[in-house]
Amino acid sequence: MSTFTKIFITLIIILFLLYIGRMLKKGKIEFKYAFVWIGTSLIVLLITVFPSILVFFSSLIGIELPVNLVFFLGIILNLVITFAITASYSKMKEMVYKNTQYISLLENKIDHMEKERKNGSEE
Amino acid sequence: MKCLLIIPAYNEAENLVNLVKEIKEKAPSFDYVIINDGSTDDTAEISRENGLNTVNLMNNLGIGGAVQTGYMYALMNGYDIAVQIDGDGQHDPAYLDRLIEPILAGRADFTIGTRFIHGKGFQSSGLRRVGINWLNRVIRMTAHVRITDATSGFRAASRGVIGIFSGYYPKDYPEPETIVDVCRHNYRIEEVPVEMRERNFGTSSIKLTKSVYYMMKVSLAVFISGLKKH
Repeated sequence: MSTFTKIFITLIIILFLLYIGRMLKKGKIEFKYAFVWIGTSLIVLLITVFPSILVFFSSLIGIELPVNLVFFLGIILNLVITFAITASYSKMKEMVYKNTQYISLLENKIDHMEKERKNGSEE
Repeated sequence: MKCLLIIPAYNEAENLVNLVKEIKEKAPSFDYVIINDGSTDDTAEISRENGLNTVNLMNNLGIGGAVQTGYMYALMNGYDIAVQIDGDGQHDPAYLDRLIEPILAGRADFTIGTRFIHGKGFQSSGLRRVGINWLNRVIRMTAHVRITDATSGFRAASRGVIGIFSGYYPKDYPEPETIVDVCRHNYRIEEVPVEMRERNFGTSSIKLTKSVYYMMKVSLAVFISGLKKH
């Protein structure tokens, strides 16, 4: 990897980390989820600065081209995150359903109560 | 006995007024609630103008979420029996008394109106019958209960079952799965022969392209439901 590439990737990661920091400050992302991305960024940063780590682990598992380990880990990470999102989406959907149902039922109840009150005041 | 009719409706404005009129004629002892499932037409306005008792869902939740809202309504308002009836005219309110009779008599906690016991009225098409038979078999294997019309949406629930459905109700294609849920809680099911009509308008929620997904989802759901703990 050329020095230019290293600096370029490092810059992108730093920008990304700054962006996550801003999101956290504004409360737009939960710490729980931010950790995954901060962790991933730091690992990528580490590998960028010391590519020999990657070579070491590749030969350890028996992968000939170190770049294939990057692809492999990338895909695994993506699958894990996608699955986690599916799970949390299902939970969210359940909550949205309950909210919609309760609010609509309460609205119906309020309508009835208002009608009763109107009838009561007319008598 | 306080009895409630749950009428889920999605873009069926013109049909509802007639249906409520028919209910008041044929089943005057029943209260009703229309669950307007986030319709994009003027269902909400028409029901307000005609003074129909309607719960207007803010979002379109699909049939499962809409029907569940009906059961929640029944629970909140202390109903003893809740009956589900389709808004598209497939179910004849004249059969309501027969449908709830086993619950009133204390023989059952949950009844299902079936087309297939006497074989009268609209009998559904060939391929659909094959699917229904398959589901009947899956239910018999997982819940050990003999059902002839697992997909029938014409059903009556007692208080206990209303409570179960308020807590959990499947989101899409709910009917077969709920039968297993009811069995798991040791409630008694009875089928009641009814005649069904062909829909006045509108299509079945089960379109041909979706039928493969339907069969897989429902079979898996029934199976998983059978695995849940008592």
